[in-house]
Amino acid sequence: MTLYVLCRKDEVQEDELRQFNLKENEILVIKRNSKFYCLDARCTHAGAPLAEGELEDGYLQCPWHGSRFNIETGEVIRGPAKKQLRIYHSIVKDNNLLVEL
Amino acid sequence: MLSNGRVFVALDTQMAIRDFFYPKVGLENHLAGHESKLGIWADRRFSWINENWEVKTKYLPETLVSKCSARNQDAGLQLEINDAVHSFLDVYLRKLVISNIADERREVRVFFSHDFHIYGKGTGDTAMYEPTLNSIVHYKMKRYFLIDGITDQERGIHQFAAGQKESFGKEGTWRDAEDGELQGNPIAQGYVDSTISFKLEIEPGAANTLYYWIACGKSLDEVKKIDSTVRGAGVEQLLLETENYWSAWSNKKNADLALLPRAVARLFKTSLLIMRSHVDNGGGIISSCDSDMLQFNRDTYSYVWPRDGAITAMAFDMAGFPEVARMFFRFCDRTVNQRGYFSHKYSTDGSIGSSWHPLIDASGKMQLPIQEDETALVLIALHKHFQRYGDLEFISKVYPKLILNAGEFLLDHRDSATGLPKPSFDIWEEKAGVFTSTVSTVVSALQSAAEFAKVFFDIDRHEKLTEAATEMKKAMLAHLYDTKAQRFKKSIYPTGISDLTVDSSIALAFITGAFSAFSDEVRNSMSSVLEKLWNKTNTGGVARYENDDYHRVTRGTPGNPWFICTLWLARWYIATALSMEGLNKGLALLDWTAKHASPSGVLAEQINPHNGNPISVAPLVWSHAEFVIAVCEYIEKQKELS
Repeated sequence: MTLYVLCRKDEVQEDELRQFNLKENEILVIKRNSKFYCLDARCTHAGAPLAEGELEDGYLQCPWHGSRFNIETGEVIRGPAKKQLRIYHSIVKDNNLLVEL
Repeated sequence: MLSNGRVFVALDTQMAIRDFFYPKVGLENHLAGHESKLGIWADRRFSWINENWEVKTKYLPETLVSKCSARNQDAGLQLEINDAVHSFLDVYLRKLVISNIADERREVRVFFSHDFHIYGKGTGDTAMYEPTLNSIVHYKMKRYFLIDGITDQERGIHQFAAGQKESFGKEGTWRDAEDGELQGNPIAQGYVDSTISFKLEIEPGAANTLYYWIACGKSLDEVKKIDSTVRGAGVEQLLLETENYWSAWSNKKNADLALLPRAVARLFKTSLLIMRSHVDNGGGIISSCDSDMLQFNRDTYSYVWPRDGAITAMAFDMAGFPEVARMFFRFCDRTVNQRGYFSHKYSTDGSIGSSWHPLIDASGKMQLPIQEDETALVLIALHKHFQRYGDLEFISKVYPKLILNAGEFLLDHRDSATGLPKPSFDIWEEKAGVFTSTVSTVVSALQSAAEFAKVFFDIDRHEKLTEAATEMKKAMLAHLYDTKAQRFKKSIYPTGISDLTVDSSIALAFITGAFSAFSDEVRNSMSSVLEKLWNKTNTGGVARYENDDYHRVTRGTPGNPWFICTLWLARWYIATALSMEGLNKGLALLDWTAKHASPSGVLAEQINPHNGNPISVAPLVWSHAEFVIAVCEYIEKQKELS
């Protein structure tokens, strides 16, 4: 596994959902309480763009069919999605957010 | 707007269906703008979805699937609705989730009215109940529409009525629905409509689902087959297929969008989808489906203007969709006439559309009733396509007719005394003359045709076209650039009078590539556009030209702001940016555009200079195409500068 620069840390604002593409991966970055979370950017149910979703009570809600995911674990909180979201390990170094691929 | 290139359905803000085209986008509107409404009956009260409901309409992100909601607190009901036209089946799909927000179990009846005017006319229609399928069929000649549905409680159509309308004081069966019951008349002919209902029992705080669809075909057998497919697969599955299709389509090339502000990136994708929804699978690109906004003399925008189509094709090419652009170029190859020019506008079947350009001028002298830039822009778009994709094999198919003949026409349609094109109607379709905007397109199109001739090793033609372009550019400077005012004139009229009105379309001097964006002539002209046409209101935006009266709201501004004119200014800022700071001026206007789009991402033709509300036709595909082009140019420039 290798760490790659995904974005500058100031490119994502607090409570913002932002998608970045890196080596064929669509990665969703969420900044919440100053902490970064990196997850797959597509819903496991039908492939909806999660960057167009919302943070509801701290959970990530899909914009198409309303599935909810835990942003720390990727776990499904509410269907119709059944499969959890992939989580990317990430670190902040200097001014950049790096993810492990 | 929902479409698969054959079936096109447009909904209004109350979720009524207002336009229903099949089997060609923009050709036969089987509703002709009449409403097919949605109504609800509960607790012995009936209501069509109207102003008493709080309605929100938008798209599921990255799709041509709607996401609408309607809430009526008094009725204790909330609806969540998804609409789509399946990506390849000719069927309109609707899913309704009806929530009972009251405290008791309730019987809810959902009504759908169908006010078809098949082939755009009400005469000779039939609406009938089909008992073997428990469905309703509307038909005339070779157009059939089968309406069916099912609830999640496995109940099909509960009641139905077919009846007469618009004659002998009969309003239609929709009126019959308002007592919650339908009388069950099984057939009607002539001016007819139909209404159906579904019955659901909904527990307090619970929600139930109703699926509804309209299958389209050219025979009863065809629509029955589609109906059977829908019943077999289920609307839920067909909606998922459609959502995934459009999401995959709109993400075909998305790598660079991360560089954009979110609202701009979102509008970019929505613009591509709205543009695609207006492309008939035969290649014609209609300018707008908006039948609510009729052009003057009760005509619509559902035609293919070669200008709008060419600009949209350029946008598709730049955004990475050459196959859609090729469909349009094939359409052009079929429709261009033997003399090499395009008529004013076309229907999507390739027939010549209605026109207001006369064959004689005010003095009775014959004139060619065309807008020459429409021919020129198709050649320019085709050459840009070839530069980007290098698909010589495709080009070789449109070279013998479209490219050769159009090039010949542009050479032929010149004034030998001046070297300028002969008069034709302008880009705004208002006046005949020799316009800076038109001449710019012709200079660039002659250069494009010359480059094609070189590719096909027709050296004589290459030289002739190159020389004509060079001479015309010189003539443009001599006759159309006003050295005193230091900007391009709007036009010279056949009387010899020059028009010095500041007109934003002088931007075509650099947009077409006829002149460099950095040239003094362009710089001075664009400065005058900014000075004279920028709306100095809170709304901002660029007007078409000084004292533009078309849908004018107020005399206190130069005219209403138009998206395309504002985006031309953005494109000039982008083209001339030498630093990120300079580029930000262009980005600010992309942001401005996103800010003034409707909540569902629709760009109108123009907006109110005071409150930013949409004015005139919406959507205007040209507005969306200019936005896509400006965004692509911004991304390219940003890469260049960084």
